[in-house]
Amino acid sequence: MALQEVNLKAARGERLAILGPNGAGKSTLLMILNGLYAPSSGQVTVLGVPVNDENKSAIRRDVGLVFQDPDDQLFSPTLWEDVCFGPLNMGLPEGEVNDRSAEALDAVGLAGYELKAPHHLSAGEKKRAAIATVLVMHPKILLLDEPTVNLDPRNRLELANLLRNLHENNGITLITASHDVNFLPAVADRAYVLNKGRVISEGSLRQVFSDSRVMSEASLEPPTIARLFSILAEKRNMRAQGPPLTVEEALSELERHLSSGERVRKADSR
Amino acid sequence: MLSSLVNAIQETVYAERHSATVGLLQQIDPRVKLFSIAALVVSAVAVRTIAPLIIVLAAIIILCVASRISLTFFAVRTLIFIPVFAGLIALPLIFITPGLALAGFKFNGLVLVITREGLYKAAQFTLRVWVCVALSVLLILTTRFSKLIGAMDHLRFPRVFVMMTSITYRFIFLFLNEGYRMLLARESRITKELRWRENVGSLAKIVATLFVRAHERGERVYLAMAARGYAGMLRRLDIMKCVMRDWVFASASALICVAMLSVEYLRLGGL
Repeated sequence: MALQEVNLKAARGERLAILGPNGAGKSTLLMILNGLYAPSSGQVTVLGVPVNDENKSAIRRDVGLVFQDPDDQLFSPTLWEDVCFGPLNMGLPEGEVNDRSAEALDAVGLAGYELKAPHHLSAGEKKRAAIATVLVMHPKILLLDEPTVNLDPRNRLELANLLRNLHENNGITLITASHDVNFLPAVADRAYVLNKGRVISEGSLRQVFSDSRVMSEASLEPPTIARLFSILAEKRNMRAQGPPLTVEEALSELERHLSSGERVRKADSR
Repeated sequence: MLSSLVNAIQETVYAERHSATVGLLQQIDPRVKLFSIAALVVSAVAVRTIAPLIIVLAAIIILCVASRISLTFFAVRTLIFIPVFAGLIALPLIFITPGLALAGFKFNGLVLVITREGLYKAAQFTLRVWVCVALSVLLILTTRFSKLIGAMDHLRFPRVFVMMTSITYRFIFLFLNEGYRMLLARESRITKELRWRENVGSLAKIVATLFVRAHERGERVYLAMAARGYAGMLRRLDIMKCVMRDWVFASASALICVAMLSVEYLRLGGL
C-alpha cells in the first residue's frame, strides 16, 4: 500500500510542500488529489467536494496536476494542440479555448512557441509548457510533482519566479511534492513530511527543516543555507532568529549580525 | 556512428523546414493533398506499364520545383532505399520472367537468361515503387505533421489510428534516444570483444527493457491525459477550408489519374 493514515489539510491560497524521499508516496498522493487514483479507504475532499468517480471531471477542472516528466504530459505534435487539449475536454467554445491557450502560453513566457513540437523544446521550456497545459484550465489548485527534476539553476530560478507570480496574481493554491529542500522555501510556507507512505511531521518549513530527527528519518538534509547557519551558530555562536532558508533571509540575518557587531565595537571604543 | 544514425533518423522524421517554406504544395489544404496523393499512389499501383508512371513522375518533378524543394535533395531522399528494397525484389524478375532472351550466362552450373520482358518488369516494378515513395515523401515534406493528423481526422480516418499515429510521431524519437543512451551505457561497460551470441543477447535485453519502458510511459501519458479531462473522445481545433487553388489541385490530380489509367487502358508504351 503506497499511503497509510495520511491526514492532510490545505487552506485556500496556501503554499504547501509535500516533502519526502523517493518512494515516500508523494506522487500517489497528488494523483489521489486529482482524482486519478481512488483511496481504498478514507475520504478526500477538494474544495468541499468529495473526490470520487462522479465528481472527478469537476475535480480535474479545479485541480491541475503537473507531472514530474514533461514528456508524459506533452503528447501532441505541437505545443498549441497540447495546451488546447484540456479546455477542449472541458467542452469550452473554440473562441474561449483560443483565448485561454494564448493567455496560458503568455503567462509561462512561451508566446510564439505555438507551432513548436514538444521534442524541440529545452527541459526548462518543456516544464513551463507542461504548466501552461494545466494553467489553461484555470485551476484553483496547482499540484506539482518534483518540479525541479532535470532543470538547470537558471530554469529552477525562473520556475520559482513563475510559481510565485501565479500564487500572488491568481491566488492559486500551490501544492509542491519534492525532495529538493533548496527549492521548496521559494514556493512553500508549510510542509507535510511523508515517509514510507505515512505523514511523519507537519508544520512551517522552518519548523520541519529544524527538526533533525524528522529530517534524518525522511533521509533528507536541511537547505544549504540553514545548514551553514547552524554551523555558524555552533562554531561562531552566531544565533539566528529561526534558521534562514533563502538567500534573502540569510542576507538580512547577516546584516543584523553585522550591525549589532558594529554597535558593540562602537560601544567598546567609547 | 550510433549518434549519427540517431541524428539522421531525427532529421528525416522531424525536419519541417520544407513544410514551412512558401510553395505550391505547402499552400494546398492538407485534406485535398492527402486525398489527391493517395489517389495518385493507388493509380500508380494499379498500372502495369511504364508510360503512365512516367506521366506521374513528370508531375512529381513539376510539383517539387513549384514547392521549392531541391531536386537533388528529393532524389537522394527518395532513391536511398530503392536499390535496397525494390532492387532486391526486382532482380530475380529479370531472370525468371519468360520472354525474348537477350543474354545468358552460366552461374555454378545454372544457366541464367536475361529476358526482354524480365527487364521491362523489373524496371516497371522499381519505377512504381519509386513513384509511390516519391509521392509519400512529397506529402510529408510539404505538410506539417500536425496538419496531416488534422487532415486524417477531418477525412474520418478511425480515431484510434489517428491518435496512435500522432502519439507514435511524438514519442518515437524519445524512445530512439532512450535506446541510444542504453546502448552507450552498455558500450561503456564492455571491456572485451563480445562474441556474436553475447552481443545479440545483450541487445535483446535492451530491446526488452525499451518495450517495458514504452509500456510504462504509455500508462503515464494516459494518466496525464486523464488528469486534463480526457475521457476517450478527442476534440480538435483545426479549421480547414478549401479555396479555389485546392479545387484546381484536386482536379489536376484527378486528370493525371485519368491520364495514367487511359494510357494503361490503351496499352500505350507497353511491350
